[in-house]
Amino acid sequence: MEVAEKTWGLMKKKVLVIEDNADHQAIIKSSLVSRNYLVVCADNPSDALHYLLDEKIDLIILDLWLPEMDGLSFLKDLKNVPEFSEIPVIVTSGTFGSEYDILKLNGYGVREFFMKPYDPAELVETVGSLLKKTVD
Amino acid sequence: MFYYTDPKRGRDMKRQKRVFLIGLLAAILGYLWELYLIHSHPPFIFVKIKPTWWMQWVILFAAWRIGVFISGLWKTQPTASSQKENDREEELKYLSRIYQDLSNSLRLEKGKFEAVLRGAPDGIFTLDEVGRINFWNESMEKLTELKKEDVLGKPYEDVLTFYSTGKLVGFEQGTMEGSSSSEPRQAVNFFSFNGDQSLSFLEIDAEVSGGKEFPAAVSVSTLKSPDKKNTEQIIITVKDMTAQKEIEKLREEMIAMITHDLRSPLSSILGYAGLLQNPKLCVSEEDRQKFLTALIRSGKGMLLLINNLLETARLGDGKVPVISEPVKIKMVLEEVAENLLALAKGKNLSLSVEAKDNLWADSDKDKLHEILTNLVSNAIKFSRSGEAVKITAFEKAQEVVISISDSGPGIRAEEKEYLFEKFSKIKKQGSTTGLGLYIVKKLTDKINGRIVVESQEAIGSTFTLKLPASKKASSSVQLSLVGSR
Repeated sequence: MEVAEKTWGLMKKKVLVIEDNADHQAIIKSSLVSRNYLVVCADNPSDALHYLLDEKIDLIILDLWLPEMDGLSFLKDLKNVPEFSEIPVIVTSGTFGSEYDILKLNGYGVREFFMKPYDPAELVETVGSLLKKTVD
Repeated sequence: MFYYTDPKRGRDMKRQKRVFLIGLLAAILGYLWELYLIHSHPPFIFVKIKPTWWMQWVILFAAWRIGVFISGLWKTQPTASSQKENDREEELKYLSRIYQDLSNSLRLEKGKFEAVLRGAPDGIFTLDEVGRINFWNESMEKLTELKKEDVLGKPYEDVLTFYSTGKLVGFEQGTMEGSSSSEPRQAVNFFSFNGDQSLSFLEIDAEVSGGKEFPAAVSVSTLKSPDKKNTEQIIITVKDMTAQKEIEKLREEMIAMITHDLRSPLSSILGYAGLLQNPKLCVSEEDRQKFLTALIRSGKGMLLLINNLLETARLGDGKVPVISEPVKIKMVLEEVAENLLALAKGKNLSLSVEAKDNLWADSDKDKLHEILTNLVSNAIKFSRSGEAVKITAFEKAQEVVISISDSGPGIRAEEKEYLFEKFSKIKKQGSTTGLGLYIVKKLTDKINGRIVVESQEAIGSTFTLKLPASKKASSSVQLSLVGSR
């Protein structure tokens, strides 16, 4: 009974993956699905916005190098909308420049940053711990 | 009229006086001799006749001329005082000549110097002891868009300010100013330069009052007063570094792009490997196969990129040997398609080759292979799932025409211009270093081919490669489907 309640409490969380590279999408999706997360993938910020408006998203995994709009400006816009500003964000990037950029990320409330290549298992663990924090 | 003027020595007053006096003395002696001739009894030993009145005048004149002649021969030793006077005169003459020469050459040098400074490619301006601009060259006018007439005599801070974001060597440290959004910076005070006349080279920002701001390399030198206490002139050379900064930026962007393009497939490889290795992330057998295919594809992608980088370096050196031999086009096309089939399948695309069985071109097989690999992999890269990439080849007017078409997003008109440039910044889907098409263009030129691109936005692009046809030709048409989804 207790176990059932707990499972109920940990209802499947939905993660939005914003990543233009199909391989990375597949890797993140596969590793998250294997841990019972629901995953939606967006190639670009505008698709991501549709998902955000339509569904309840619990966590966002965002790649900084995106077509059309760079990840940082997307993040900035996201943090300006009150409904979305509380969603935890994990940022990933292939090329990541200066400490200045990291400072900027901190400014947007992003603490979790994964430099590619990263271990998918580590990413999944971070997703788990961030979602646990939000539940608490 | 009595003055004697030597054409070589000019008017010598003393000499003239001497000549005049000796001439007069000779004339008097002549006159006395005449008197003696007239009045002497018995007559003089040489002249036994009495001179008539005109003879008297002739004798007088002759005596005078003889006197002048003798005085001309007479080289007197000048006296000490006259020597001194002469020396002084000579010295003065000499000095005045030197002065003339010097002032002439100075004028010339000044003109030359000013012409050089005026036309120098770098901006040069000078400041007087209180910091007013007293020279402003043409490059400075171009650089700041301020005319000489508008700035001369003005304090330099009113015209132009230089800012440094770091510590300045040879200058006293100023106060740092700046907002939170920008890096703190200090205005450069040229009068605090204590580099002891040597040159100081700074990379700083120049800001024209009410005008543009540009990165500049500035060198400063000072002319000090003889006691070395005061600065008399400050000479400032300003070099516009905008172009260099742009090149630097481009290089950084290029490195970032290459890093991204290499890191991206590498991190895919590591990601897939991590997924396959970790027992906690249960992967189905179907997924396992998918991941292995993706692993190989990513590896091939990296290899292509690295090959492209090497090829670019070789093309830059001009060390690309090219051979010309009959090449069976269909064979090359099928090989290329075969190699890229996995890539096409991964994106759920159909890839077809349509070519005459016996179509031959005079070309370099390896280079052609490389060109086609780049063109086809680009077409695959820019196509969306379910679309088709078509490769066709035929002969027309003694040329082999190979077309690669996709139904991808197409190329914008303004992008076409830069399409074949190195590191063209066209980036739509997936990753692109912008080397592929540069290599395609360079290699096509090498094998005496031509390349044209036709593209419409949202409809697709067709790259057409034209090569000289070989004598071997055939009429049979064969359609071959190498791969489909």
